[in-house]
Amino acid sequence: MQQADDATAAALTAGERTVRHTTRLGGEDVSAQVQSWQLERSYATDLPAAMRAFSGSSAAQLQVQLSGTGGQSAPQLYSPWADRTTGDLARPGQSVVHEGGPGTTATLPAFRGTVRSRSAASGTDSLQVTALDGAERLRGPAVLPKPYAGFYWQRPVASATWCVSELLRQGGLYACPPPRYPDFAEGRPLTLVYATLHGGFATPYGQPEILPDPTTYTFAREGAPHELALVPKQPQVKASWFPRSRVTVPGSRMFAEVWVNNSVRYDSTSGDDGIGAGDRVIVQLELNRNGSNTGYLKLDVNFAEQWLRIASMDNSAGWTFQWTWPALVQRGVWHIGAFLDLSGGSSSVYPTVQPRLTAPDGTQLVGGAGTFTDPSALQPASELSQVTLYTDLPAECLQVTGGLAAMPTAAEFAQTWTKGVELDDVILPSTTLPRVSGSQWEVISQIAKASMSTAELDERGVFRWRNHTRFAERPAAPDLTLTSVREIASLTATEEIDACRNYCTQPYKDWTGIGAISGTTLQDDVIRVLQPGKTTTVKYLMSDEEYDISPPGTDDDTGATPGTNVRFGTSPSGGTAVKGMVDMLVRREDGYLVVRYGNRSSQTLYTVTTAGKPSFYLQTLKPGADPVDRDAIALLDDPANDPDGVASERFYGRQEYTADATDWVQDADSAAGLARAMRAAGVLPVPVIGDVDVLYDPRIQLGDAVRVVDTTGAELDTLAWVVGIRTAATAEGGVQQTLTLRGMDPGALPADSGLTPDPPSDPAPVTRATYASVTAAFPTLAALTASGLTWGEIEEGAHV
Amino acid sequence: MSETTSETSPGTAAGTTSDTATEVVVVTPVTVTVTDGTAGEEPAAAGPEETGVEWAEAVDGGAV
Repeated sequence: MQQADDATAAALTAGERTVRHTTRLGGEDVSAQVQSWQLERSYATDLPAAMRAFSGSSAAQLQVQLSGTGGQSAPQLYSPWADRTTGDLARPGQSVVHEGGPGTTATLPAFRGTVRSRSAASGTDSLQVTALDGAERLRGPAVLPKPYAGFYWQRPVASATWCVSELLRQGGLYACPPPRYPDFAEGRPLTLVYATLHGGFATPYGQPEILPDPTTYTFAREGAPHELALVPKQPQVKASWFPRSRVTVPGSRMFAEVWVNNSVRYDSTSGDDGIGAGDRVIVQLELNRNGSNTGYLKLDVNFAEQWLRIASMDNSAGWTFQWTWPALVQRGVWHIGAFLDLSGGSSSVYPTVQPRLTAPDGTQLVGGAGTFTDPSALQPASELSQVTLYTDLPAECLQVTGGLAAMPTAAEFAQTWTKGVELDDVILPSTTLPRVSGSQWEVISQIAKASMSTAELDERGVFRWRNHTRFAERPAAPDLTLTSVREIASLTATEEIDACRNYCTQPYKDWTGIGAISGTTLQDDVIRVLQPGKTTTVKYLMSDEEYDISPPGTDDDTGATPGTNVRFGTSPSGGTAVKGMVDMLVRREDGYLVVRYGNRSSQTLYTVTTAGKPSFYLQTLKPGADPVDRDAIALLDDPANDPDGVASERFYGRQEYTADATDWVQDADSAAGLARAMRAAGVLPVPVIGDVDVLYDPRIQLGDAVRVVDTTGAELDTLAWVVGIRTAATAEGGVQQTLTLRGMDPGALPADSGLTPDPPSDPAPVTRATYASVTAAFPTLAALTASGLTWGEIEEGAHV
Repeated sequence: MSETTSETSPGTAAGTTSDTATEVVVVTPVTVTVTDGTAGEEPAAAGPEETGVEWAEAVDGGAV
């Protein structure tokens, strides 16, 4: 329920009948021109309509009748052919905001969206405008990455929740800071890795490489820096990602950052933090040098000891700078970043490093830049191979950006963005991400139906996602009480057998034990010539069915380079292998794999093997087998502790419901949870309370729990969910609000006290022949034989 | 730094090179374009004169 100020609440309590509203089109207040309006919100559900559970998405629609002004009619001002100076106010796509409230008090938000259509009838003074809510912003194509890490490690790589967050991000609705430079543009900075950690390790930019064991972490909203965070259950939980571009060292400037909350721990509310003394987070950039050697740049923050260190090192030795701030003692949400400048030098570089942090109280902590001078910190020619997070703390939104000219300013560090998303706990962990098609909103709606969740944009344009787990707990108190004494004008209660489902089946895809095998391979058939200081882009046709690959590893003749790789030689016939001279970027685009080489050396290079053959080799990974189709079934399996289930089967019989099979449910626990939720919702039929006309209350929202008290007819006093709201107003100021409610309680169990229900069938009585009747009809055996009747005909008495 | 190397990384397809990669190539190179490379600007590192910040100088932390 929306919060209202005291005056509004008092007016509603007093039963205020007058209503005021404000309507803005294109930012202009047109309230005085509104003749009538109607607003509708409801959940689309694919469960049996009367079942207690509800799910699916809701898109609100506002219809407004608008008059003209200043002596000009509405069609003159706003028809599709009207002058743009006035007509653009109501053009399709224009912003629409509607607010309403009782009496003369402040108004509450009711709708925020865009114009879908306008219709002007000539000869009248009326323009009909139809507007849809923020779901219209999610009409872009849904794109999800295809990481192989899930089946490679046989661990969850993402979840339905992560997919929802990612689809919303694509539509410009953010739950955490967006990627700084998501789109590739020549000469511009580029986001190399962007991991929201909103219920998974998948990324739109870069791709997950090492996944932690799911027993070592969880995802939680409580204490998340923004919305949902990776919460370690043990110290130094590790996850890593490939960058989408293997930028070179020397030659690169990178900015690494992550958000953490050092005030919460796993299950800290129970006092069992499960972590120990850990108070540290590390973001590590790994640089692939010649052979199997690796260089490291490590941003290391220890809140317990109040220091931040940045190290430049290899496997055996290195050097570190340290910064100390007393403010690091603060507990709360921290934004940690480090600018890493490795742009100098030609064959090696001493990194210049500088940290920037934002403390929970908003204080900016900036460290002085330090340039390493110890030989152990020298970074020879190499390429960024992966980014690794080690964390003791809840972490969210890890980003690595390449190509920034300088350390971001405080404003750039904070980014300009608006949080417009509220998620729920993580559901439906996934080993692979399902293939999707259609718009972002369509896919979000599919996920909502598959997971019995709801998705909607509220009155303020904020997206809200709620899981089926909301049914598990009955609200302690209703958001609002509606009584027939005052609020309810009319009410219809219906109960039907279709609402009873006590045998529920949830199909799922079982990925247990399915590992990775080699997929498609390609040996390039052309030696690519990479001009010095230029970039070369090669596009390869690549099926959408293929799993993602990362930028190729660079073969340097010191050993076999596995998987997708390329060798850069100094001559077309092979020459000497070169490392750390070519930036490599891969992206999937319109059915192609696009590989971009940026040769930052002063000599021409060739993609060539030692034998003078084309050296680019591509290899994808794929699952070793298809997942197995299985069913999770919820039924009466514990009669002693399931009185509802016993009563359900006794009075209504076994009633089956099978949910649609989708690729979103990928493990037995999730499927069993959904099946149990469906059965819990349908084990006893709950009356549907339809078309409840109530006194207008702008505070009511979808999903609210209301108490309905009807003493005039139905003798009803029950809790119900609001699943549909329709509000309509006429020019005279009268407002009618109609709610569709889904009851929470089935009421008392049936008892049939004093009743003797009739049996289900009552066949017509059959008179059986007796020996006496047969002998009477057929005195002799000869007579009986002569009749030609069968024993059945005689026995059923038709002829005796 | 043993923690950085103790866990096997899949690489792009590490450990699978011995698998039977028998599928025929369906990926075909089609276009090559060449564009000018670009040079980045010189960085201007944030300094102690930045207003409203708590500044800390880098201290040599020594060998790792």
